[in-house]
Amino acid sequence: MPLHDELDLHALFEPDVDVMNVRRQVAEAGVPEDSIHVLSPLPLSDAASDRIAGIPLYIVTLLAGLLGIGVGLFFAAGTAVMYPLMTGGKPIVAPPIVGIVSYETMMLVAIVTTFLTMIVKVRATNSEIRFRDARIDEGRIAVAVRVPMFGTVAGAVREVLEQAGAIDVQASVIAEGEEALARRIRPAASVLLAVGLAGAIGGCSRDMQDQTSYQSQEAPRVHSPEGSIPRSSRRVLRARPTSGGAPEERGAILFRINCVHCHGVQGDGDGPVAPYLKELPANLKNDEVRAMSDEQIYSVLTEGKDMMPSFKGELSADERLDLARFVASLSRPATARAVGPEGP
Amino acid sequence: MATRDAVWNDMPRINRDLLAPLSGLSGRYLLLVACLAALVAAGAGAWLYQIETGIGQTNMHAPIFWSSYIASFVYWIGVSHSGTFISGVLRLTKAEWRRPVTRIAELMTIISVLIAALCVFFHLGRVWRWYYLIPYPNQREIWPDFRSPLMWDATAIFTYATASTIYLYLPLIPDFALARDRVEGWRKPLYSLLSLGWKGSQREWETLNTAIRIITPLIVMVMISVHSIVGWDFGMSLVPGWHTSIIAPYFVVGAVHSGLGMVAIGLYVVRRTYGWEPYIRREHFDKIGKLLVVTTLTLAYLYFADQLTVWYGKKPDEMAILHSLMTGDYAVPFWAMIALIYVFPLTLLTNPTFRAWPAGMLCMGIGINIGMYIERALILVPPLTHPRLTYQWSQYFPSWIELTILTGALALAVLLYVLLSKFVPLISIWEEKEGRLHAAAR
Repeated sequence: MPLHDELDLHALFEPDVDVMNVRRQVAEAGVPEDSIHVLSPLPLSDAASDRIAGIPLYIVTLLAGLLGIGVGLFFAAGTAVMYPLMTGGKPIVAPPIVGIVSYETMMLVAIVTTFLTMIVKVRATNSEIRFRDARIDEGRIAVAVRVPMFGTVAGAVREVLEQAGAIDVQASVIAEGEEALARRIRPAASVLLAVGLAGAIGGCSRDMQDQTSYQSQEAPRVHSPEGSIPRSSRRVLRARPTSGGAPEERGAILFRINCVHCHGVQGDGDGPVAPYLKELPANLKNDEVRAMSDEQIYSVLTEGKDMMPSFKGELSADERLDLARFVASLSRPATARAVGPEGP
Repeated sequence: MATRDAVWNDMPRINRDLLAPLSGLSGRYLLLVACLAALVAAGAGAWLYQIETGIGQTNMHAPIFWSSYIASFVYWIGVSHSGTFISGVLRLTKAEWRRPVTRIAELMTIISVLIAALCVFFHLGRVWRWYYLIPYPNQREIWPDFRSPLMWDATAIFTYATASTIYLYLPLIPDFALARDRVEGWRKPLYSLLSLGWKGSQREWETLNTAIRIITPLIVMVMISVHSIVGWDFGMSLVPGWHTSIIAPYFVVGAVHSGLGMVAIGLYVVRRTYGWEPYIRREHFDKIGKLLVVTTLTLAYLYFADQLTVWYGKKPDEMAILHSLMTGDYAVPFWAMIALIYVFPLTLLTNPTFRAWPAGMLCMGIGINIGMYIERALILVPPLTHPRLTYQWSQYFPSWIELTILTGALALAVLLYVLLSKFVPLISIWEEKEGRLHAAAR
């Protein structure tokens, strides 16, 4: 049985070499085009229309993009089907959203596939080249040729390369079967990695027993659980009306919480819910209110008036007093002030 | 102009210059790493404390459910647009001056996407349940709702992070091969692995160039979609001040604005640290400055159009927010933002002498980034503190826990960059050589 060992010839040239000419001469010496490689520190041409097994790479990208759209449809449209949000007895189907999610998955699959295809192609190409001279990156061009170790071709090629002005010609031997072994080991390693990853994911805990969730049929909880987030900011909580702060500030805060939605931010009787009331809320700056004493306002707050409800149950006496003083200050321009921490 | 031969003869020097940062450890470098690591450790400690004691450690409260973490998320996603924009758009338009800038910017992209994702995790109340966000069959019947803009966002950011990593990696392959042949020690096997056995044959170059050419327009489209979707996180809600159709383009342009500012900072620091004046020239600062003028004008136009519509409509809900910005509680940050992202860039960057002044561009970059951070915070906070019903009106300022975590995140971003500078050539070596040959041929 004949030996199929091969020789990798690596010739280094100055950058002004006529590479195309060298290539042609090497081919004429009996080397198939596929076995001649020109190595350079940068692309020698702007060519960018590579093919993968005869198909242009962009077609691979397009096909992958279509697959990506499928993935997006599966998740976005699948969610709408599997977990329908019922409105008026019908599920909400939202095509624009399916479109947005599919757009992203299309891009993802297209880009990743293009990338992986490129890697496979680059690996397939450069695994044919045995050796690379580091001097290429210093501004040289190399021609790498793979020839059978025995026979006349190797000698002829070497001669061609030297005559073309090669600075240095190196040869390395590739024993038969050496590369095949390496190719067999790699998939095995990938399978091991995949199995390991699957095991790691499978090992994740899935139990929910440690969750103190609200149980079905449980009576409503009156108080918030300990450690939950307060409804108002701690900044506001610290300045709670009953716990310090200037009286007018406490009144302003209470006014913002209890009065503004009907009487308006400035007390003009134009709050956001005013248009929906049968009777318009009072303008707190009008003469009638201006004429009232703090005590009279306090009693309105306590007892309610016309449409306005009583705040006896909502606010303590101290709070009502602070609030009454604040309301009174609204109609006296000298002391009138902005409402709340953010008032315009 | 250098001749073709001169460029070829110059290649050993280019290799030496651009690979120099990979070797040697100075005392100053180690000190910087130590300081940054300390800040990161402080941030990590604060986060652990927040996880242990609960999300109540932040100053978030009803109705302010989104705050500093989400503002930082939006900001960092914005910064991440630097790399893709510079390298994607400039590659598409075949702008030669992109060459020394792309890698510096692409690294920023990867790191800032990472930090942005981290900000989302800071914001999760029970961060150890984060995997509920992933759609996979499970016994709990928990399934993410793709109708929510937040899910579009998660999908988009995953795509963007993956795509920009690929986009950073592609032009790095030949440089890793170069480093593989020149660097000894623990990095050598890593470079060998990452360079995919790169030999530099014309077929490999063509495959690489084809892949770059296909992926470039795609990633520009992903970039635009990502920040649009971040904008829609806000725009799809009915909160006054957010519910505007202009929000997506506004976010995209704002992202590029802060990204370009960050690139100006990066260029200055890299140039100064490694003495790369022959590579990162005044011309590059000038070009970044010109792009910044474009983004400033576009952003100002969009912002004005949006606020004008609000002001003319005089809807009370929206006016409350506008008032709080212009004359109310947020007036100081608001006017600072206006100065930093619109007034200064427009007045200074239209001056060619200023644009070509690297230190000036550094200050401009810092100013724009501070301004854009404020801008992100002002998009979030005033609308949330001014809901339609006034009884919930309140204030928000981050707690020290939030500030420590976010400072740690910033330090982590810088730390990662500093560490990566020891592993990744900060200027794409083969593209720099190619650019010089193109210049010689002209």
